[in-house]
Amino acid sequence: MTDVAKTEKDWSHNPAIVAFAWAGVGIPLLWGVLNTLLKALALFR
Amino acid sequence: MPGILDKERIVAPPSFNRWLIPPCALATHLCIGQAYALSVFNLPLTRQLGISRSVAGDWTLAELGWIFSIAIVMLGLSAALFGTWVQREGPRKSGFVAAVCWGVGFLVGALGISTHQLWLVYLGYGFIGGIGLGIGYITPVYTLISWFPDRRGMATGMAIMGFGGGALIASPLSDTLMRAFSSPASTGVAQTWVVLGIVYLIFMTGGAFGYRLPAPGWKPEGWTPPVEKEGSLITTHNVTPQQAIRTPQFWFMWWVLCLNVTAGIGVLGQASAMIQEMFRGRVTASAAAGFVGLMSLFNMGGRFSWASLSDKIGRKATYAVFFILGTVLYLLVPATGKIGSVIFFVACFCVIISMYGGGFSTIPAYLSDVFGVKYVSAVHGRILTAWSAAGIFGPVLVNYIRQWQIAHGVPKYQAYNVTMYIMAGLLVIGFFCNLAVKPVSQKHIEAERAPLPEGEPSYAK
Repeated sequence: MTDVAKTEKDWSHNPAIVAFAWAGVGIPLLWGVLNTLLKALALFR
Repeated sequence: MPGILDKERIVAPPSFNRWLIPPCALATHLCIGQAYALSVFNLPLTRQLGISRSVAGDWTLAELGWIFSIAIVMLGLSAALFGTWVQREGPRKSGFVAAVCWGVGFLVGALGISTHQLWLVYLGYGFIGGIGLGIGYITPVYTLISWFPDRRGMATGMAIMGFGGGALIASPLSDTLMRAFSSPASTGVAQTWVVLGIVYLIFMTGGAFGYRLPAPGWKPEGWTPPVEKEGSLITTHNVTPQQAIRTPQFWFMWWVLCLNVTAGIGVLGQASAMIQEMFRGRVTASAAAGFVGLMSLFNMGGRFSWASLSDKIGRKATYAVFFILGTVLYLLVPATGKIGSVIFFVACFCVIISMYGGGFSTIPAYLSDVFGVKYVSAVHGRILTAWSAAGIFGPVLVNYIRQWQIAHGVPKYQAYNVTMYIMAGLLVIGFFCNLAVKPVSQKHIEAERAPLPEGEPSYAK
């Protein structure tokens, strides 16, 4: 039987943690998307 | 006391914020998605000895093509072979193993590049990295479906969108790094691979350690698991992976995935050449590169949007849309060449590629509907062999049919027409395979102590 309370502390609603987690993946992805969009613009020039 | 990587260690308290799980899954998939951007290294790798130009002894493009092929074959094989292990050991351990394989794969590959031993690159990126690809690809699936039983398609779509997005990051990042490391004595590829290997190892390990599993009995607030109706495709029971591959449903779905991927993968590799040849003199090489970039965006966006839509209209209906709309669009492509409409051509392919991506991201939710949640990673791993098969069928169909047509006097701008009709034909077959997917017979259902409610995973090994 797993003892949930002993294995985990619930830090998951901390806004800083949530923002850090999403920014960690979101910023590189946004950078990649913007780079690709700029390249794609060549198609319409 | 469970070890730091064990799944018993990562059971979350009931109040855990489930929206922290998708970034972990994205961290894994954004890294392994680099595989789609491997071609940025092709030309620099053909002049490792000559640096400014290829010289005798330098690797050829044909030899380098095997790096990607080995990696994709290993992706399919390792997903199929390690699917049960991934499911048993949990996302933290499998995510960490994937991180190590992917990171070490780059480092071994970098050693091969710097010592100019191609077998080491095959071993590193192709074999070791390929295992990381397979394990990493299926790692988040079960976890996400457990956390989002109410939005299975959206959750897995978000992760698998990362696989499409990984190339969008890796391509400019690799370019920047190669420029920074290049010198009169080096192309900078080996150093770039060292940096990428270390960055991916850290990033994926971070994701792996962020995974949590819902406590047994947990379900989203206010959500009631749907009651299984007679004849419904969505089951609340489970089929073991060993039983699943004995059902006709599994093989119909295998063909659904294989045909959907074949139709997309063939044109994905040829997109740049195709648009330039069909609209000769009107589309430059840089505009064609823009077209490829636009397709990558639609490939990524389709993974999220189609899988999310499948939560509303159902998986079977979503694939039916892929096959019907895909057939119509493939049949229209030759007409776009005839009337000389670049915009119409681009629009057709953007939608086609979005459905190619959507096919990948909707399949885990489709599998969990038909075979249950409990073994979904293992079943998903086995069905990914369809991707490996499509990786061979698609390009072969497009390339050989085009070659055959040109050899028989068909003008280059018309050489893709027959291919488009064949792709449409494949999608028609796919439509009927999808139509044939029915609820699994009772004889294949796992004998359970009690039916496993939606969103309730079992952590017993």
